[in-house]
Amino acid sequence: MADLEFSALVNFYEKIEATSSRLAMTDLLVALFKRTPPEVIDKLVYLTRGTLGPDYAAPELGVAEKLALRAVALALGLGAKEVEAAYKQLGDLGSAAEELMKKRKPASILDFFGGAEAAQSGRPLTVGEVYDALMRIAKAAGPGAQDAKITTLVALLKRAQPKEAKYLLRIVTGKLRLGVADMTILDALAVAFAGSKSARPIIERAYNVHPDLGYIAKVLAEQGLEGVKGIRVTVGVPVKPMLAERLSDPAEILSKLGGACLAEYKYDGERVQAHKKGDEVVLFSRRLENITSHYPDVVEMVREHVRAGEAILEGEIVAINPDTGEMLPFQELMHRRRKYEVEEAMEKYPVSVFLFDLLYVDGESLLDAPLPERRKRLEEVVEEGERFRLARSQIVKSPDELMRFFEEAVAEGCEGVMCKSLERDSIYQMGARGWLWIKFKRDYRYEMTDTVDLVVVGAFYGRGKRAGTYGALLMAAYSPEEDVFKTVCKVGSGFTDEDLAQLPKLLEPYRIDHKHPRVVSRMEADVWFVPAVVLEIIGAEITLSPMHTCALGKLRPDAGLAIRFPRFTGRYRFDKKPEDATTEEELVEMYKRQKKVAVPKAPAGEAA
Amino acid sequence: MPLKFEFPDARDWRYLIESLQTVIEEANFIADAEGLRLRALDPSRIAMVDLYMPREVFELYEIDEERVRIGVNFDDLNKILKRAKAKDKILFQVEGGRLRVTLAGKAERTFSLPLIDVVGEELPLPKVTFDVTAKMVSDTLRDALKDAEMISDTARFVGEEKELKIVAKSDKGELEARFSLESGSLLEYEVKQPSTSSYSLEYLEDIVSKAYRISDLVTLEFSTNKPLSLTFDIAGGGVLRYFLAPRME
Repeated sequence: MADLEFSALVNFYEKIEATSSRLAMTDLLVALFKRTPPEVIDKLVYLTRGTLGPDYAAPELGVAEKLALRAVALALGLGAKEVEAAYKQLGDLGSAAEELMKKRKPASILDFFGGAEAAQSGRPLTVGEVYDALMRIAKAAGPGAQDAKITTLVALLKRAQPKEAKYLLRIVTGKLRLGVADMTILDALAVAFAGSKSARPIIERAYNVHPDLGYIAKVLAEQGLEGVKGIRVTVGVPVKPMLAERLSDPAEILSKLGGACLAEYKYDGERVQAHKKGDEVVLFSRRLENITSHYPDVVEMVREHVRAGEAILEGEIVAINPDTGEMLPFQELMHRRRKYEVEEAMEKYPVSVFLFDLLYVDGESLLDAPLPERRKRLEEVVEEGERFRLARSQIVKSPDELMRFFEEAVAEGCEGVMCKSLERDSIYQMGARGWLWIKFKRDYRYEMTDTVDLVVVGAFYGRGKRAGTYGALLMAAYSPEEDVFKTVCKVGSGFTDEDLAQLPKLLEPYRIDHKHPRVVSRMEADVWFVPAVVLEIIGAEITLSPMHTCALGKLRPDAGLAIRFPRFTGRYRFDKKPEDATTEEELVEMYKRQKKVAVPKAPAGEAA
Repeated sequence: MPLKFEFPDARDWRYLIESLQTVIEEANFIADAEGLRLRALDPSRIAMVDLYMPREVFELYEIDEERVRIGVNFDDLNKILKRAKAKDKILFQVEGGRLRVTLAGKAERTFSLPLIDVVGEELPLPKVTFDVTAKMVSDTLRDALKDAEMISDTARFVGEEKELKIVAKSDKGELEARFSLESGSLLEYEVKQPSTSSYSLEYLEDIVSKAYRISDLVTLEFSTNKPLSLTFDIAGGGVLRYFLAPRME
């Protein structure tokens, strides 16, 4: 099979490292691609990115530095200490090996045989061989895997020139940082195989549908632009997700979207692209990592609730409090990012899925269909369940309407809302940040620094572990002017098992079968109480909410005050009468005096 | 009998085997109608030895097959050769997987040892054009290398227009040995292009301190950052040649 000498690739790496101009980098890549046989161009592209495949399917390469160091020592016939010293001095194992090789190892006589007639073990390394060996290293598993990795690496290093060793080690330890962006590779592919950058849009579209640069390069090299045009959305291969612009003024958002839009809760969770093929389900993160193993429950839900043989859906996975059904902040999902004990994490940190898009269903690509059609098809395909639902959405036509929906979303624990175009051109723009989707998020949030004392006025039955007791309590502040209790939040967090066990007993004397006349609530509780028991509550912040009655209309029409992410501090204020609870006026003051903190820009892993 | 050859002086064979041993412990001699060859790399692949003994150098050379491979361990063979007395003739015979070595002087003694299976690669010769060629007395080279080895483990060969220098440097000191046609220390000298290259003294000194007994004269060839070639001519038309990879600096 045609191949390329690894030294040619390494020479190119050196040149790349020496340039900081993207144009020069592109030219170098073009020259490299042109001389690379099509058979190995995919491998060459992967290696250049420091990987063994597309991010969503590549085995992890990261060989521990210690292991690589041992391999260097073995290959050079040096003591580990000597290699370690050089490593410490140069700060990079690749450079250390290069220097040691240059100094200590006289060149092999085999280097001077040249070309094809050289003896087997003296043959220069090729790109294909290096890739295959690295793949063996990445895939080595089970007992003896370490030895197998070392042996393979030593064999490579023994045949490597000092420069080659440098880059080999950087790749194998996951430290190759050439700074070649995927977009630069796409540019170079366009020039090398289609003659000019004008072919770039076609290639980029293929890349968005099938974000595997190695694959795209190979199709281009072997079949040309025509081959690339034939690349279609495939179940199992993640599509580059559509991204959103961001604004914080509802009027501006609506005018950008043509006066009306579909507003959707922007859940504070992990965006997921679910691929279903029969019973097989694969989940990809926003960054296209395969996250299937983190969410066996989501896999099960997709199997159960998606009525299609094949489908690609998008949604948000949100951590929930299993006892109350409340949404929890994004951070809670971190417990799921683990390799082991996922089962246990699944029990302790259950999730809900909120679907918002359908990209493909049973052989039909919906990428170019407008949003209303995609949404309609999504509704047809998804059979909603308790934990698997469509994202809450509403068509809004005025800034006020949008603002109310936004406040409701925030009070319920969302980050904000996504505003999506309903126009005819509202296609799914893969990989692009455009004005078809606009996220409406706050630039800042408040921080609640003090606790409040609120009165229990109602309760909701618990589920799961909390069956038989209460899952959440409806809490209210006192209004001395009107002598009524107005709701502020539903609290389900912060209770110990002991608290939960005694809550029904504690509240039993006050239980009544209707809402108490002194209680003002827009929510329907399962159980109502005479205002009597006072609990100390803390939350993340005080926000505006159309769901609660405390200070309703005082700060903004049709919005009251709510505590976001409330929790019980553990202190029962039996010393306080309900009339001693925090007052409505105090909450308004607290809302106004809250510390304003900037909302950090979403990290890359978070939803768009 | 597939192969049989006789050489006038057993001690020359001892020197020859010791010279080969500086590079490799065991190897295959390949015999064919033209003579005997051996080509091998040392395990670290830094040095290569290439021996050719045409049938003319032997007093007797008989071969029944097209090609006979004689795999031997040099240490084992040398134990036998050390038993040779001055002026002993030596006769080698290969038959039935064994090598029979007969030392014939006042008495005739025949040793026999099993042939071993040496995995050998078919090796080409390095492809190098040499820019500097110098012929000198092998003992002179040996002395210079011994001097250099006191200073460093690397010797730099500098081929200038009129002069060949061997330089060794370290914190222990510095050595510079100079050779030229003018001073008579070189017998032949040709420089296509001034060149400089460094070689491991560990190998070099070892090789020359054994091989100088094979031939009084040595031809030394090198180019910048290319292998060094050392050629020792064996009386009667044989050649013992070494290639040594450069130390890149």
